[in-house]
Amino acid sequence: MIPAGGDPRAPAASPAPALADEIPMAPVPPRPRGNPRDRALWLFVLPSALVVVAVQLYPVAYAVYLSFFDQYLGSQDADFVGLGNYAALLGQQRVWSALRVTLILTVSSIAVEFALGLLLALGLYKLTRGARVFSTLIFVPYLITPVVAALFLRWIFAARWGLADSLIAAAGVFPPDWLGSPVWAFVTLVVADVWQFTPFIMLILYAGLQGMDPSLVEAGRIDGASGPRLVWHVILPALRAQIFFVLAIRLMDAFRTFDSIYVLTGGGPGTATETMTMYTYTLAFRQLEVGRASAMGVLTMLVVTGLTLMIVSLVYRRDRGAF
Amino acid sequence: MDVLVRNAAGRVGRRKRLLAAAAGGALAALVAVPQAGAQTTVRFVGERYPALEFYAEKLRTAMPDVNVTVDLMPNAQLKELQTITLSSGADTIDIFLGNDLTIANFAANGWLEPLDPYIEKYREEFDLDDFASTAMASASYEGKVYGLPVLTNTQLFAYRQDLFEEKGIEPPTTFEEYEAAAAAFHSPAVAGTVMTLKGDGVLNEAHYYLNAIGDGWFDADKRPVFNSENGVRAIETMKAMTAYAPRGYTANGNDESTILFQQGAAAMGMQWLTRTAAMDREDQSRVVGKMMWAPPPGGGQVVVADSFAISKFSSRDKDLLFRLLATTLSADNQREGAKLAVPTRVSVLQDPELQQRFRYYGVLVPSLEAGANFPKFPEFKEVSEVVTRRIMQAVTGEMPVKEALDTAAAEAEEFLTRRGVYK
Amino acid sequence: MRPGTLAQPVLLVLLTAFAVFSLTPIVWAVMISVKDPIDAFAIPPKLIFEPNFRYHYEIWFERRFLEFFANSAAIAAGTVLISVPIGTLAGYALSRIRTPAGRSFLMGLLVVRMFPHVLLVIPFFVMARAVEMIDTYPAMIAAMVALNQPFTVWLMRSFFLEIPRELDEAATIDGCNAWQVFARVVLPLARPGIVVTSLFSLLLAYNEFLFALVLTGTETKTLPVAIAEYGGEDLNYWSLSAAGAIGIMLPILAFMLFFQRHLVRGLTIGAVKG
Repeated sequence: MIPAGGDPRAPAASPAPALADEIPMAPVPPRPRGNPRDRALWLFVLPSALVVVAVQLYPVAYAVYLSFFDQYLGSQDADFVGLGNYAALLGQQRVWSALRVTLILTVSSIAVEFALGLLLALGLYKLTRGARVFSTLIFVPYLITPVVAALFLRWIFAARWGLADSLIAAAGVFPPDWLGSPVWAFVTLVVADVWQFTPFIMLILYAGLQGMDPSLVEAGRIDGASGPRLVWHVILPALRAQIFFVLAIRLMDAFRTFDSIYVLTGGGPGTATETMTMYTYTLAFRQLEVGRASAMGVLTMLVVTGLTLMIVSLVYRRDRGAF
Repeated sequence: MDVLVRNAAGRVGRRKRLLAAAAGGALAALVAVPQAGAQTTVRFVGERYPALEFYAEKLRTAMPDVNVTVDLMPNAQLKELQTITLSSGADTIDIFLGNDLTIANFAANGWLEPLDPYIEKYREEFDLDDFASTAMASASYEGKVYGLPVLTNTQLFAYRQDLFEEKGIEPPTTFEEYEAAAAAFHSPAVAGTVMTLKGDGVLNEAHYYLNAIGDGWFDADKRPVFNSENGVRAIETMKAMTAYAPRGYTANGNDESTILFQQGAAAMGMQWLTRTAAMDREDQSRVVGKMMWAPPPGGGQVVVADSFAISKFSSRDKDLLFRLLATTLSADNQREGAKLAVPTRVSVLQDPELQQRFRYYGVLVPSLEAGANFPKFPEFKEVSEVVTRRIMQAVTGEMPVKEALDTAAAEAEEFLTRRGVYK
Repeated sequence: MRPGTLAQPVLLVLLTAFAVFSLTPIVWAVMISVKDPIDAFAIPPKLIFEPNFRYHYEIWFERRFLEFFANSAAIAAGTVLISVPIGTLAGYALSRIRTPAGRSFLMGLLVVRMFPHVLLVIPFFVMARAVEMIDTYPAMIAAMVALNQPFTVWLMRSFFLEIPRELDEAATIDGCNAWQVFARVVLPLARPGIVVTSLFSLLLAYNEFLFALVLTGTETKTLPVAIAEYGGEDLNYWSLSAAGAIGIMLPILAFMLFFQRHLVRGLTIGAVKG
């Protein structure tokens, strides 16, 4: 799938050919820091960096710039208000409530997803036969186009005619108010997120396990580690990069979750499940207050950055700066 | 369904052409937008519902030398697309669908082409005086006309005629009777009354209570009156009515309420007129022929019109666009479309043959007369978002009614002050 | 959970249970897509019925979904073909560069990704219009490549980190330049990572909604936008949505099944080291 070797940008510093098969397996001396090869490596980063800068920089910078203006989409002129939008937002109880809702939903969803995703990945790794079938079956919810995934869940959780609701009612038990009671609405939204995104965590961790050096596990076993200890001391450290990746990505995406909440509860009952993104959307597209909406976006970005740094320090507790 | 079939038939040729283009390779599609001869291409975006699918098809075929591309989508996405396109002055949309609220808002922002000169010019040719004045008012803002009304929509009081007859109860005409009837029919299997409170639903439902019992939303100076003594009573009544609403009513939108009616799980409640036809559809409904409609008890329910409008930023000949819209909304087309929505031409509205044919026609005129429009100022839609949020908190008991409405009033005044409404 | 004592049947039961949880909403949606609304939303649910495929037929043959599928496929393929190669290059480099500058760049990528999309979409639209690229494939592909770069780079980097640097160093001593080390030594070992990354890149571009709504138009409209157009108002639209969602999923499922063998154990480091 990757055009291996076909790239004309190859920085041909040394023409001497060497084949992969000929790699000597003898131990090599540690490479000194600041190797000039780093400079060649930065060339590898260039195409990616160019695309991101060319396409993304302006929109993000523009949104940050807008956050300092009292800009209404309907009029051409905008007043510079400095940090006025931020001050106004931080003074709104609605923003704090949205932050609380977002944090609760994000943290509980990710905790459940990570635990389940890791267990599933380990289970698939240990499974001697059928791992391919199971990984595919369990992955299916992640394939559903997000605009409809929430509708699928609505058909499960809708009161009266939803599948879960009516099956429970048919069993003679009074079903909970999945979307209508504040507590159950939270539970339903977490279940919705878990349903759709556990497969993502599972597949990345599973791929990580596939790439892991099996001799590590062997070595751990020989040292007497087993079961949870083996997972904790050998497997988790080996998967650190993947773990950080899935947690960071899920954190960002969970903060952004919009469709499923919009379709399932619409932020309700009342405003019990209104998240920061929903409020940003309301500000931007219902009230056309793009200045304030942008400020809300910057605030979201700051919160997520803080949380991401927290994950860095959690995952890389033992050797800081190593991520 | 026949609308859909016709739609499909009209598209076959076009589909083949596009498929051929796609087969020709992505590269070809990247370079050139296929365009047929000297035809003008016009882009229309609107909301997707059966009546509009019908009119969109009429729009596509209205003029042989005008090729209309149609994109229909749900309301929320339509608003996003319109807002992004129009606020950046883009000419990627030529004509679109608006309602009372968006027309006022977009017109105030200077995004719409005023139609008065064209109406003057083509008054005779298209018999434009035939449009009902109430519908034209919905498409106007500050004395100028910005749209041609496609259809009028309102909520009717829907009820199960069979159940009412069984119990010997008359359809209610007051809120006391409404509440009593809802209580009489309410059971775990059948809800006393549907309540549609998800998203924009709460705006419509509260509009009804505030106009029937309260003093409306805002006074002539755009100061809040929804928290008046009567307003508090209105929302208290709304809150009391939730006792007979189906479980999970706060998460019910129009689709859910429609299903509850169709599956025989609700006895009565407010229903959009454009949804009444679905009650009698064999592929959707278990209550075919069992539903009946009455003017809402107390009146004051929402009345809106959806209109075709022309973008100020369109680079097409606007005279042509206007003729295109006027042709689409001919009396003949409206007569055909009456099976899906209330027409806007008086000559069609009063057609005795149609009054015979459609069951909703009987209650239509009294309902429209008793209904109430949304307040006509461009910021209403935006400020209503602030207010309805508090109304939901009041109705669900998160906050006492009086306190919620007073808070909403303060927030609304703050919002409107910042927007420069009070000079 | 001692090694060896955890019986395979227990594993099978647990995985089956989770698979049931995962698949129930989808099976239910498939059932809705082959019923008329009167039965699809019946109380209590109807589990036995005569399926009819008119909604599936309708979307593909009467509502131009084939055309939208071609658009989706073109945009997704274009995105993967650009995004994964450049992301793989950058991911490799950043897994080997261990300086503060490298780390800052990685963090910078993430920060760019944290901004809510609802706010980025307006400037994106303005930019695309300025270069007159609204309703073209390149505009959408450019947006998707850029939006997915942080994801692609980070994911590929996490796989490259598992490949011991000693391999690079050995190859360098052997006289390979940076490109040769990458292309001949490291890249072949990163195959499972590339498959996974391609799959996710493909999914992100294929399923993107908000940017597609704004940047595409009549000529380039994608499936998610087309499906979202049937969000409600008429309950038959829900049946169409269900049919559309099932239909749009199947090609990806096929793609996954096809490439799954690349995920299988044994291709990787162990083989080389051993």
